[in-house]
This record gives sequence, C-alpha cells and structure tokens, in this order.
Amino acid sequence: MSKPVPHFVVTANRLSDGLVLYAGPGPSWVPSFDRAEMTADGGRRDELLAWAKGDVLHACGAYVVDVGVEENGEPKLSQRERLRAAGPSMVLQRLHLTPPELAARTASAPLERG
Amino acid sequence: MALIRRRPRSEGPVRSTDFELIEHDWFAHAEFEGELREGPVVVPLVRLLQDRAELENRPDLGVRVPSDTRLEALTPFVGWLARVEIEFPKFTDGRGYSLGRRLRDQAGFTGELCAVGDVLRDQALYLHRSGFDVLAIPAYKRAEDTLRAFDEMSVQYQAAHDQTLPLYKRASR
Amino acid sequence: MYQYDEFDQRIVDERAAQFRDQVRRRMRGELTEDEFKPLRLQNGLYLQLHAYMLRIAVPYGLLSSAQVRKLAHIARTYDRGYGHFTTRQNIQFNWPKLEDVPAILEELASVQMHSIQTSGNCVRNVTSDPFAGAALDELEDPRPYCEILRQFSTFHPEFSHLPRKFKIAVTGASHDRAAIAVHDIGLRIVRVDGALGTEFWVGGGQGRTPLLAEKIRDFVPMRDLLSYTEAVLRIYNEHGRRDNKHKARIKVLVKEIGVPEFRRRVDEEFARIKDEPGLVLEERELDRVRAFFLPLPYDATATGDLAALGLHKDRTLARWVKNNVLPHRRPGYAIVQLSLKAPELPPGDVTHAQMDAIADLSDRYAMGMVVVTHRQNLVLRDVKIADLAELHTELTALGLATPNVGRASDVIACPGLDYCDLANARSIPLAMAVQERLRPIEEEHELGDLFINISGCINACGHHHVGNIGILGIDKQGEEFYQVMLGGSHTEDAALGKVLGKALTGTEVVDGVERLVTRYLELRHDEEETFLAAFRRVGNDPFKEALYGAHSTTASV
Repeated sequence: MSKPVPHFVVTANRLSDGLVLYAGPGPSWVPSFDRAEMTADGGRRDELLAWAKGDVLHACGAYVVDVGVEENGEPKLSQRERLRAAGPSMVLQRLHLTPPELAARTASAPLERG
Repeated sequence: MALIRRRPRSEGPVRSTDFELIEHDWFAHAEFEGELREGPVVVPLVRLLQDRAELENRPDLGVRVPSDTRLEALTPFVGWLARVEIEFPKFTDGRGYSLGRRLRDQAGFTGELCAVGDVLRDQALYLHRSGFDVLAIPAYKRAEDTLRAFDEMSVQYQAAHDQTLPLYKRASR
Repeated sequence: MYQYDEFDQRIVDERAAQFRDQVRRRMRGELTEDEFKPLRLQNGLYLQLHAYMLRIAVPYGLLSSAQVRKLAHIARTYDRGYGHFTTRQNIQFNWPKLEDVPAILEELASVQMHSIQTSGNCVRNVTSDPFAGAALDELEDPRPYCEILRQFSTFHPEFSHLPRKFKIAVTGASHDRAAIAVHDIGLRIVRVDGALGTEFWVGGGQGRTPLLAEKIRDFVPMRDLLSYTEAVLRIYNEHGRRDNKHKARIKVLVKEIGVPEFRRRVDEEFARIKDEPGLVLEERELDRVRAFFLPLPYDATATGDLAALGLHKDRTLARWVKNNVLPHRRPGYAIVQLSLKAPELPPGDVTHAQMDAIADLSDRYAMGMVVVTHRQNLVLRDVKIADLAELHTELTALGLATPNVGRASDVIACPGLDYCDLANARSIPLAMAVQERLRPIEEEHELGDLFINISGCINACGHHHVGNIGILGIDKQGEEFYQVMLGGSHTEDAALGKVLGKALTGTEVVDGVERLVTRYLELRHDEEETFLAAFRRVGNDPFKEALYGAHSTTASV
C-alpha cells in the first residue's frame, strides 16, 4: 500500500464576505475545491501562493493546503479542509432550520407524555 | 521617514492641528561606537551606560532604548537627557507605553519622548496619551495619513499622561 | 440599566466612523491585510472558516428590549437570520459581509451598543452574575462596578497592546455565578467593617494551561478599585511574557514569579498611584453609575407561591418552573431562564423571529430587559409569579421553554470547527448528539445539576475545564478526536476537570457520555447527590471504567 503523493492547492477567503476560494485555472479564483488547480510541483505551488497573496483586492488569508492523492486519484484532506470545501450551505443545512421550519417543528412537537 | 511632533500645548483633547510633520530628524543617530559629532545625537542605551562618564550632561543627547527597558536604568539620566527614543519592534509589543508613562509621570522626564519602530497610525493617539510627543513614521506618506488619527476619537474616558483627570472629573456627566 | 450620555454616544459613533474609513481603505487596497487585520480585530471582526464573524459586546450580559430588537433586525438584514450567544455573555453573528459591517456598527451605536474590545490583546467584556439585581443571595449589585471598569478600560492608551487578552469578572453574591476563579482578574464585592470593597483575585484562566485565580488582596476599598486594577495591568503589561503566545496570559506570570512576588510588585505600584486624582474613584461617580441600577418599580402587591407552582397539576408547567425558574429577592417575582438548548437549534443560537418575540415578552413580562448567561442561555429577570403560566405558554410556542437549564441536556458548546478558524474539531454536532441521547434519560430520571461543556480546541471557549463533564476536541493527523475530563466546577468551589484517558471519536463520546450518566445514576446515594458530588465521593475509577471498560479495544488510538 503506497503512501499518498503530496499535492498542493492554494486557498484563501473572499475579501468581501469570507467565502472559501481556491486558486484555479488562469490563475483565477474558483469557489469549489473540484476546480482548484492541484499541483505536485513546489515551484508552481509558490507561484500560485504569490499570485493569491498579491490579489489583495479580492482575497485575504491565502495559504497552501496539503492534499495527499491516493493511487486511485482520491484526494485526502484534513477534516478542517473537508469542512471548508463543503462550504457554508452544509453548515446551514445541517445545523439550522429556517424560521418557518422551526415554527412548524415547535408547534407540533409533543412536549411530554402523559 | 518622517516625524510627527506635537507643538507645545496645554492639557486637553488633541487635534491633528496640534502636530507638525517634519521630514528630517534634527537628531543624528550614532552607533555603538565611533566618533560622536557635534549637535543633537541619539546613542543606544548600551553606549550611554558604557560611556556614561564622558557623555554625562552633554547637551542635546538622546538615548534609544529597547522595549523591555526598566525605568531604573534611565532614572540617573532623566534630569538632563534631551530625548528618549523607545523602540516598538512590533506594534503588538506594548511595553513602551508603560515605560513612556513612567518616564513622564514617575521620573518627571521633560525632554522629547519619541516612539520608533513599528509605529502605525492606529497607535498614534495611544502614544500621545502615554506621553510621547514625537512619533517616527517609516514613510512620509504614511505620516500625513497618521495625523488624521488625532481627529478620529474626541472623547477619552480615563486619565493618562495627557489628561490627568478621568472624564467625569473633567466634564459634567 | 446604564444610559449613554453624549460622551458615551460620541465614542461609539466615532468608532463606527473610524471603522468605516478603515474598511474603505482596505477595499481600495490602501491598507494591506496585515495592516487591516489588527484594526478589524479591535472591532471584534474575525475571519473564520467560511465567513467573517462579528462579536458584539453585551456589557455584563445586560440587554434592553430595544437592543434585542435591533439585534433581530441585524440578523435579518445583514446576516442569515440568527445570532449566537457566547460563554462571555456576548453575541456573535456568523455571516456579515465586510462592506456591511460599518452599517452594522452604526445600527448598534443607535441603540448604545458596539463591538469595541471584543477581540485583541486588551481588556475584554467585563462579565458578571446574570441574576445581578435580583438574586436572593446578592450582597451588592455588581453591575455599576462592571460599568465603571468598562469605561476605565475602553481605549485605555497604555493597555491596548497587552501580552494577551484580559478578562475581568465581578460577583456581588455569596454564590459565584460569574466564575471569577477562571478570570484574569476576578472581583468579589464585600463589606468589611461597613466599608464596601472587593476581594481581588488574579491569574485564573482556561485554555492551554488552566489555572484557578489566586487571592492577591482580601480587601481593596472601592475608592481604590481603578488604581489597584491599573497597578495589576501595568505590572502585567511590563512583565507578562511576550515570547510565546501560549504563555502570555497573566496566570503564567503569577505562576512563574509566585504570588508573594507578584503581590509585592503590584502593591509597590499601587502605593505610588493610589492617590492620583486620575484614579481615585470618587463617591460622585459611584453614585452617578449606581443611579442607573436602582431597584426597579416593582409591584408591591405582587404575590405568588413559586414552590406550589412547581407542583402544579400541569406537569409540563411544573417541570419548567422547577428547572428553569428561580426565586427572586422581591416577593411575588421570579427569575425566568430561557433555555437556548432546544433540539432544533445549535446550543446558544436564536433566530431573528425568536429575538423579536423575546423583546416583546421582555416588555410585557420582564420590565424590558434580557440578560445573557455564561451557559449560552437567556434570562428574563423580573417576572411576576402570577404571570408565569402565561409566559410559559408563550415561550413554549417559541421553542424557548425546554426545561433543562443547568441539566444534562443544557450542553455548552463553542462554535467549533463548523465555524471557527482556530478549532481542531466540530463541537455543535457533538453537542446536539449528546443532547439527543440524554433527553430520554432526563425525562425518566431527575438527574439534577449536571454541567456538560464542549470546546473544539484548547482555547476553551466552551469552558470545558470547568464542566462536570468536559469534552475537548483535538486533531490527530487531520481527524477529529475528543478528550473527556471529569470533575470541573465553575462556581465558588471552582475546580478544573481531569482527563479520564485516551481520546475517542465523536460517536464513542456520545455513547460514553450516556454510560457516564448511567453509572452516576447507579452509584449516587439519592437524588440529592449531584453528579459532581458523586464524582468527588467515589473518584475517577468507576467513571473511567464506565467510559472505557466495555470498549477497551476501540478506545485505543
């Protein structure tokens, strides 16, 4: 069983609202991990990071994400990066109901038996 | 490089107009050793301590001190030094504010108190309130911008060097 | 409550204008992110995993109904419809856009609120007893002194770049609901020979090196409150470590130089400055601020029997009264706690619709005020016993009447890795899973006081060190694991929990907590013996065995 091959992706947060961004083709900013440029080359990684850090008007907090790529091509990310990649809708769906849903829930939920 | 210097004034809230922008320091800066020329010059603290006998009571002498300097190291010189420069290696190192206060309020230092190093616009008002009357700003353009800091916050709750009374003793609340 | 005069108002207005200018300069590229970051942090604006987070100050947890309505409006207009109440009595919004934050600050300023010093290496929100002004065991209302300390520390020029953050808590009751033992400065108001003053405790804190505070002075007269505080802050500013972020709190300084030496340095400085007119706290200022916290216009004819209500034939009402409602120092009144630990929402979260409704309820039933507690719940502090049944009905419809305050399912959790950039593990899903697992047990048995706290990282915003059951999220090779500790306490018998053994997965923790609670039920003397008391009596082993015993193979990581 071989170890995953180290790859790199550059990520940052959108300046305007903090949305997770990745350095993609161009380079340009893309909002999803799938479209990020993934490279095993340290030089290319540094180029992307420099570009990301230089784009001060659109992004902030740029850094390199380590991605281990398995033999079958599956990228391995830390839990933190998996959560970032999943995006805000996952957080909101998983954790929060909208007020109408909440109202419906509390109106009908039994409070105590007997 | 530029300096912001406060004009002589009485107590009370400051405005940017209380400060002037100066392009060239009137103090030269000397190294740890070597000939000291005439005129206003700042030496490192180490040199002052070392060459104390020959430097004592020299007019127009300034000293540059690191941020972790204790007041006790400076009290022998406070009566005659023309300037004390306190280093702020990173703006997050806030020790210089307490040293400045002690120099002014505890030791009664009346010479120039100058902040050097990572001095940013956001610290300008705090430095002034802590007794600093000269700020060394890394870039001239930034210095112009820094002056505006003095117009941003017109109310101070607590006493400090610049206002010896808290707000409720200065104004009717 | 405190009302701003023109000076207080000008401070928050000018601060909002200053930040508006800073944001404009950042968005135009005139400020780099490195230059902007400390500025936005000083206004409580963090950058987190998916978005910015704005932390708004709620001084000593006290809100007016107008302020609550404004928070609802902000949630609705600028955020995603909800807010989160924190363990330091503040509120956080998780989704503001950078360009909207100046407008948010202006809206806050219009109701005498702000986000000043809710982040950064400065003095943070001064917190206190959420029942201040109403508690039976209160000796002196701590809130005027909190307000005086707030003003003293706001934009203090000398102490805005401390080695690290600085947290102050004040209690005025015999039972400490402000957790002063785990604060950088903890004050207990006392009277000695008729004179009012404080016990001065220093050096408590959680995080990487949890420590309980040491008493530095038995009695500091009120006159000297500010000069003594200034002396402590100055010694800390000068001597606190700046070489290592994790050793920079005042608790480390106190530990490293020892209490006698720390006390000596503070006393030396105090002696020098105690009579400075700038620092002497005069009676007129004490009177001015106390005047905002005078007893409310209570109805002298109000009556009611709280105990009887706890035995009401409507068992839902009775249960809620017994768990969530406390006696008030005024006859005929009660202190009502709103549980923000319902099954539907993450712990401590409130929707904008709930906020608006709470504001209305506060006006109708609770003299127009709401208080935030350290356990991420809310308090309607002055409710007539005669109104409790009606209020209960209203709260039930809003999902705010879960009868679990201080009980097992009142789980405190920090935002964790779902939101927070500093976290190692998620805490919210774990909290909700633990709540769901314990609810049926709670329904069937009287579990009594049982405080469960979850933090997603060592920064301990979930206060896991002082939970009866404390859970800490850790990162092992990029995956989430949790340490379980027992025996912490946040009150005047303060204690720090001890880790039971190896870290577990989230699923194992949920199963494990259930087994800990079951074991407690098995070995307690009777219903009166709390989880903490039982733990102190029997020690680690029975609980360790409950947690790990049945799953010794899966527990090895």
